[in-house]
Amino acid sequence: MKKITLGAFEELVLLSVGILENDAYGITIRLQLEENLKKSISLGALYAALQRLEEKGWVESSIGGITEKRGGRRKQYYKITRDGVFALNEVRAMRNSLFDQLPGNALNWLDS
Amino acid sequence: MTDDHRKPPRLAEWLLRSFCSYDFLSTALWDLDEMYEMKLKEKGRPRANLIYYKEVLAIIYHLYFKGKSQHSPNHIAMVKNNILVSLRNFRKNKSNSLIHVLGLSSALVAFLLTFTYTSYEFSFDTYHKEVENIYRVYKSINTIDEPDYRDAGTPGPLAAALIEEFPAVTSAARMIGYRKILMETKTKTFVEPQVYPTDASIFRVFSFESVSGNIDEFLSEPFTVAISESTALKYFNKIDVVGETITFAQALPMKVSGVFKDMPDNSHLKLKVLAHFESVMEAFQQSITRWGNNPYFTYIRTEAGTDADILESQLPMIRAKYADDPVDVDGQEYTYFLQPWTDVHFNQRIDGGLVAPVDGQRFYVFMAIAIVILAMACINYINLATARSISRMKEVGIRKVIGAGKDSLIMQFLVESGLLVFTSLIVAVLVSSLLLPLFAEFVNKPLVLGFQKSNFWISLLGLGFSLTLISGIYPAIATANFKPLNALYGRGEIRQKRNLLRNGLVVFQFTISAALIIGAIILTQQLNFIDDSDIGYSRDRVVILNTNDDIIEGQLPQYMDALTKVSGVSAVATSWSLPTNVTSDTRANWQGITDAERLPMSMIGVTHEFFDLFEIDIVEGRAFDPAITADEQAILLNETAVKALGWKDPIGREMITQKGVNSRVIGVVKDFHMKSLREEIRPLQILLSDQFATLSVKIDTDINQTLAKIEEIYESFSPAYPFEYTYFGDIYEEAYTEEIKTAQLTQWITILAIIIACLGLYGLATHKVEDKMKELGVRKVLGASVPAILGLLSRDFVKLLVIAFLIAAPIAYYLMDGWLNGFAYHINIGAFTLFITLLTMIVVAGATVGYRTYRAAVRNPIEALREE
Repeated sequence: MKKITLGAFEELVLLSVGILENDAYGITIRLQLEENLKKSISLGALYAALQRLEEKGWVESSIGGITEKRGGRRKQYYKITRDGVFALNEVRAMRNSLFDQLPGNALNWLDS
Repeated sequence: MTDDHRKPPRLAEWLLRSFCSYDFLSTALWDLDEMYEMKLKEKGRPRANLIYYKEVLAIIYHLYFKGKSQHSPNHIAMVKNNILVSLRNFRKNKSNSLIHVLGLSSALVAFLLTFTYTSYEFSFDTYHKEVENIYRVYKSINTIDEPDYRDAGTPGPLAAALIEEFPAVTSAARMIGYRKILMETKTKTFVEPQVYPTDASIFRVFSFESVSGNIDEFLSEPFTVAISESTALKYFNKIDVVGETITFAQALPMKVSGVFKDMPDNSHLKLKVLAHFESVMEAFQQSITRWGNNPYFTYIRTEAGTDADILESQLPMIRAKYADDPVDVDGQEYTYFLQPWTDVHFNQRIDGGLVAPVDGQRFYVFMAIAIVILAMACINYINLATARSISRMKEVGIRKVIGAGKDSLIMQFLVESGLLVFTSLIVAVLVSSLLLPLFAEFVNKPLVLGFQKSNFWISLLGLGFSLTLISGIYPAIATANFKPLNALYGRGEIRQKRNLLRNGLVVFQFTISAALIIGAIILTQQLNFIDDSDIGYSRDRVVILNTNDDIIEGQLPQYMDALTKVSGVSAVATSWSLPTNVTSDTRANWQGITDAERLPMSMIGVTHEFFDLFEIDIVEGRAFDPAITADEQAILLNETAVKALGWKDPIGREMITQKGVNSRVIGVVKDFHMKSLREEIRPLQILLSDQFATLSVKIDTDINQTLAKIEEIYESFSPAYPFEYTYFGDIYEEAYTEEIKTAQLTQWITILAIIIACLGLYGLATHKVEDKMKELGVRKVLGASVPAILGLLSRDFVKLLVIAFLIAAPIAYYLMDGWLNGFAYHINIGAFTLFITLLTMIVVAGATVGYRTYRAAVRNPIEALREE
């Protein structure tokens, strides 16, 4: 099996792209993340993450919203791929299995 | 909202376009636009712009520097590549790069320090609001001695007359300075060094800030004072002191009407205690209504846009219109002029100011020298880079063949010099910030580098770029101009011409070094001369005691008597002033004198022991004798006076003193320097007088013990005032500190210049050795000796040195002669100085070149010849 390396931030980005479905582009992804994480995120960090995700084939981008504005500005939409969902699932499964191995007395803290 | 207003900042967009790879550029632009529009609505334009910049920088950081964006646009990739190539080059020629960085950064340190110093001096008094509208009024008198004598003292009624006559003068204030006034609060006693009675309008002429109290009510009532924040803290330990009382001179209770913020360091006049003008002047019995009484300073503020020249041209009528005594008894004619406030710190032509002005020209000279040194460091780069360009010909050739254009080659070499310049700049800023505290202490000024000012950084950046262009553009163009074929052939076609330029620049550098060496030697010689020269009086073990309080002044004879009895005190005397600075003037006068014989003379009144105390020799006749009461009508002359009067036998001749007393000459004293050594010794008249006493004592045993005894006596006379004293030696030194410091600075600068010139020379020698490696190998194989090879390599340099010396010597001679002529007594520039200079240069340069060439000369020729 291909080894999956998905950073924490990349994972969040990937999830947001998935959640937004057909409306995932720079600004909306950022808003989604900022709302959920309650902290501000720079576009630069976001692009870097998207770039890496695209290289791994977990998101794919398409150009939309052609505009009359000068300077070749384009809206670039992202969509989560099948591989992307698999990767998310795998990471979650791995984390869950690790979480389940926590000893009982550590879990007790959660109830108190 | 217009379209234009919704545009994001252009610079940020340009940055993004330059750095961001094409694949992400368009999408980033779209997102940023959308974000910008949102933020514009939410937070307004400035905030939105700021956020835009932040985002752009983050994108560049993440995608370009951190990420692995391979598709960056061409020109940025080239810059990256250029930097890489330059770094490789530096690594390859470590010694060369070190020479550049070392030379350039030390020159930059000198430049930064000088710049900080001069800009501090030139910032003096500029902080006042609309400082261009503030003037000091001064007067000019046409006296017979000095046709255009200028003096800052003005009469009391002038300020009011100016306000009444000229609507353009919005406020005018009179001021006078009193030294050492005893000030008492309920709990503490101080002697305030300077107290200034002044009009309340001073707060409208200058920019003051109130700390406590309403600034419009400062000094508005009689017997009030306004004090600075630090003074308030010193006197009351708090700032909020309005309504408190300070007693002046144990007689005048003054109410504090306000506290103002301390004036900044760059004020030439630091006012700390201001007092209500009319009431204090009346108490001190000073006339403020007479036009003939001129102890006051008048400061005015004019309306914005007032032409000072026109206003000044109308001033002469003031005196005629307002004064009841238009012309003085002695026929001196007064005219008033305006001096811009920022000029007061530098103008040495106007006498009698509250604070001695500084020599502004000095700072221009410093700045010029710093720039010349910087130029020398740039020349090193130009020289070495052009010299080295030959060894890089192959690289240029290949690049050209592959298709590099001229401009991209020029760019490459510029990036290379830019890297060096900015590295040096960073080193220089670091070193300067370390050295600045030392330097500030040396020049005795509170200097700081403007780290917190954006202007400082912008100027540094500008300096970096201009230095890059200045030093880099010529080598870059020259190298980029190689024809590719010739370049690959390994043959530079215009070598001859370039050698000429290089040699010219080396000559220029050494001309400056030689001139500086000559200058430094002469400066040192002259100052040693001053130090060693017989000033004509002794300054050893002489202590000046303060007499500025009323109690001591009233009982001075008793106090002096008591002092004489102290063991260890060998002489006690008073004089009108110290022998370092005799200020009173008179004219020779006797019965039946003709106008031509009315010789201008200096004049000093002294008490009996003055001559013993200062060890001033009597060459003829005798000194004043306390046993002879007739000496009250006796005078002494100095040798210069006797010579100037042309008297064969001066003893017993009569002279009428300024007071109109007919006096007999009883003795002649040996000439002593009564002003600075810059000035000629003038004819001098010495009379017996205990007025205007400056009290000096000579102590011939342990100074500290004796001073302790004197202090006890002083306390018994005047318990209120603290005991103060000064060493005469310190006063004397102070008069020459400026020159001594200038000399020390010049010595340092000279050493720096020599080092930089030698660094360049070392680099050139290295290059030459490398260039001639094969030739040297062949010569050695054929039997050339080491000295012969040394000679071959050094011959050219020695030639250049001699040429430089020949240019420098007359220039330096001319300049230093002018400086020396400022001194009435000075050394002459001897051939010896010039010889020493030439020798120094040859030794230093010889060592530099010799070290490098010797290594080449003793090398095994095999090493040079085997590489092919």
